[in-house]
Amino acid sequence: MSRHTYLLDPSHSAAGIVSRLAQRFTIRRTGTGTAVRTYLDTFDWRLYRDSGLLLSDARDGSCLVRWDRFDGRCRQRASLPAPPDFARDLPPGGFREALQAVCGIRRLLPVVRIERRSERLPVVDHRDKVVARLSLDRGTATGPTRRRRRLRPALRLVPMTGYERAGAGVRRFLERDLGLAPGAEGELDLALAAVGRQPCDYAGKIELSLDPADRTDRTMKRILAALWETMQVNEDGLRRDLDPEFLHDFRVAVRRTRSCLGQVREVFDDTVTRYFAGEFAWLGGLTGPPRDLDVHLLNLRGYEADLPASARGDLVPLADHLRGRKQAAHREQLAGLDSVRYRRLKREWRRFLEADAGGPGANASRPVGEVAAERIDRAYARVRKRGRSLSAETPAETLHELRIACKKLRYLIEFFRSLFAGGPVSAVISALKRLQDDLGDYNDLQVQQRELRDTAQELFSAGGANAPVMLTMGRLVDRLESRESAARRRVVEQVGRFVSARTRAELGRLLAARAETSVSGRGSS
Amino acid sequence: MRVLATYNIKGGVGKTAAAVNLAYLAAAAGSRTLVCDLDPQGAATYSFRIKMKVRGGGKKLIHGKRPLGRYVRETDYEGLDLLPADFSYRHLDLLLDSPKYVRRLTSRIRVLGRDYDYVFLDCAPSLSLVSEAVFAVADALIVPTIPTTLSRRTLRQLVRHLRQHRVTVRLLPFYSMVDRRRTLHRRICDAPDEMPCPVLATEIPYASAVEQMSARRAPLCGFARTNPAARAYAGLWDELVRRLQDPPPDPS
Repeated sequence: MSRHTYLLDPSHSAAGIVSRLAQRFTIRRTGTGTAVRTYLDTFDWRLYRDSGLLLSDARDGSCLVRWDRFDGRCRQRASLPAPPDFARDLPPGGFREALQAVCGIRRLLPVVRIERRSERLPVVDHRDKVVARLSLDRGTATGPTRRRRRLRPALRLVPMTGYERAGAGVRRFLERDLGLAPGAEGELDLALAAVGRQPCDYAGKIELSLDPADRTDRTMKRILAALWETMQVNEDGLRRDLDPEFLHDFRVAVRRTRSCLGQVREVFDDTVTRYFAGEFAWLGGLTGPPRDLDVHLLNLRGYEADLPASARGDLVPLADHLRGRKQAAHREQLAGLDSVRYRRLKREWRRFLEADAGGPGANASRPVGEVAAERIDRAYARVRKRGRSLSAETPAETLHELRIACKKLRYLIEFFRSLFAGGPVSAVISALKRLQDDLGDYNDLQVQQRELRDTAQELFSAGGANAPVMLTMGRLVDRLESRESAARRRVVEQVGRFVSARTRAELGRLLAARAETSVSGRGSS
Repeated sequence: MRVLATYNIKGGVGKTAAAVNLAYLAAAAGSRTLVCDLDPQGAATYSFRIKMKVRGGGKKLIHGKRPLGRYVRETDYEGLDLLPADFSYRHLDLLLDSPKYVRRLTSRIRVLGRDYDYVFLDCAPSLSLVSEAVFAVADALIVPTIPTTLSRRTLRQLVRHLRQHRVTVRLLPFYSMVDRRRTLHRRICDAPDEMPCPVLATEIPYASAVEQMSARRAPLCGFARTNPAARAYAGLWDELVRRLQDPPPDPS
C-alpha cells in the first residue's frame, strides 16, 4: 500500500494534531519506539534507477533488509545478521537472484542513515484491530560525510490491505480537517535533501548539454572537467577496493581524457597537450594490472560454469593465485596514487581546467559542432577503412586495431552526443555498440587464453599446481579457443553492417545537419 | 514460496495455535507470510481480530473470477497477512465435488502465494476433499499430535492414507500440548519407534498461556515471548526451517 507523509512545520502543534486525531478516531497508544534505518544502494544508484529502495532496519543483533518499491510496497525482505555488502551475501533464493540482476558486482553502500523516534498512533476499529498505521516521527539523518542533520517532524500514514476505506478516512481527515499537505517526496528523498545530497548524483556517464555554436576550447574543457570529476569521485572507492567498478570507471575516464586530448587536436597548446597525454598514459598504465586481474577474477565464475562440478575444485589454486596477485597489484597502484607525480598531475590538471579557455590552436575558437562533425567523420572513415578489408583470415592485430578505432569513434560520439538531437545518433551508437561488444568478446577470449597460459606457467614454476589443476586449465583454454572462432565470425558479420552504405549515409546526414546548425549559430552570434 | 499446512484428522490438538504462532514467527524473521484460514470455525481469523467474512463465501473461494488477493487482510503484525475464514466453508466439500474443482482451489492458492515466502494453511479437522486440495498444494503437513494413544492412532491413519493414495507431501508431526507429568505423555514421547513416522524433536508443552491467545486475540509469541510454550514455538520454527531445507520426499 502506498504510504503518505505529512511534514509538520513550526506552526503545527504535534500534540494538538494527536489530540484531534484521538477525538475523531480510536487510537491505540502503544508508546514510542526508536528505530535506525539505513538506505543502501550501489555507488551509481542502480536500485534507485530501477525504482527500488533497499533499506536495512536495525534490530537486536540483526537487521531486517527490505527491498521496496517507491510506493512503499515490499518486493522482498529478509532477516540477516548484518546489512549485506553485496547482493551475493544474501541467502540463496529469489531475493538474492533479483537483487544480483540489478546490482551485479557492485557493492551496496550506505546512502543515508536515519535515526527515528516514532510515537505510534495506530488507528483501530471496534474489534481493536489496527486498520491504519499512523505514527508521528522525529529523527536525524546522517550522510556518508557523517554530518548529522535534524529531520522535520512528520506524520506518516500507511494504509493497510483490506482496510482501504479506513485508511482513506484517516487521510481525508488529515488533509481536509487538519489542513495537512501530503509530501510528494519519500523518506529517502527527504533524508538525502537534509544531508545535502540528491538521488542519482553519479551516473558514470558524462551528460553535458553542449551548444554547437560554442567555442571548441571551452567545450573541450567542460568535457575534460566532467571526466576529471568522474576520476575524483571514484578515487576513494578505488583506493579502498570497494568493488571492481570504481577502478573500471576511473580507468574509462582516464582513457576518455587521453582520447579527448589526442583526437580533438589543434585546440590547446601542443606542448601542454603532449605533457598531459603522457601523464594520463602513465596513470592508465598504473591502473592496468589491477583491472586485468579484476577481469580475470570475474571470469572465474564463468569458468566454473564451464566445468563439471567434479573439476570446479581444481580452480581454487588459480583463484588464490589471482587474488594474491591482485593484492600486490593494488598495493602498487596505491603507491602510484600516493606519489608526488600523481599529486602534481592533480594540481596541474586542475589549474589547466580552471584557466580561461583561450587555446592557441587553429580549432580553439571554431564552433564545436563543426569540429565535432569533422572529427567524428574522420574517426568513422578510419573504422570503415579497417572494417572493409576484414575477412576470416584477417590477423588478430588488425582486429585489435579495429577495436581501438571503434572505441575512439564511440568516445567522440558520446562526448558530443548532445549536439546531435534525436534518433539517428542512437541508431548509430547502437550499431557501434553491437560491433564493439563482439570485438570486445573476441579480444577478451584471446586475453583470457593468454592469461590462463601465463598463470599456468607461473603456478607450475612456483610448484603451486598439481596435474588435475593443469588439466583443468588446459580444458578451459580449449573451450575459450573454440569460442574465439565463433566470436570472430560474429565480428565479420557486424562490421559489414556498420561500414555499410546505409550507416554511412545515416551518419553523413546527421553530421551535415549539425555542421549547418553550428555555422548558422555562429552567423547569428 | 513454501506452503505449510497445519493439519490433523483429529480436532483440538493445537493446529490453529501452531499456525498463528509459526506464521507470526516467520513474519517477525522478515518473511512475507500469509495465513489462509480454511477452517469454518475461523479461530485463526478470530486470533488476529479480523472479521470472519469472505464476500461470496466458499463459492467465490473456489469459483470466483477475482484473484484471492482481493480478500486478503493485513494483520496488526508487519509482513503477516490473512485470508479470513467464512462460515460457509463448512460446505466446502460439496463445492469440491469434481477433481477439477480441487485443482482449481490449489491453483488459486498457488497464485495467491506468489507474493509470499510462506503460506500457512490452517485446516479444519477432517479427511475430506478439502484435505485432498491441501495435500496437493502443501510442501509440508505440520501435524500437531498430542502424545496419547488415540492421537497416535490418528497419525497412523493419516500415514496409511497418504501411502495408499501415493501423496508425496512431506509429513512433519510434532508433539503438542505435552504434559510430562503424565505417564502416558512421557511414555509416548520417549518411544519414537512406536510412532508411524519420525516426529520433530521440539515439543510444545501444555500451557494455559496458549489458551490465553483466544482471550488476548493475539499470537502467544507476540504477547508472552518468554513463556515456555512461546519459546517452544520459536524452537519448532527453527527446526521446521532446517527440515524444509532437506530434499523433498521421493515420489516413488
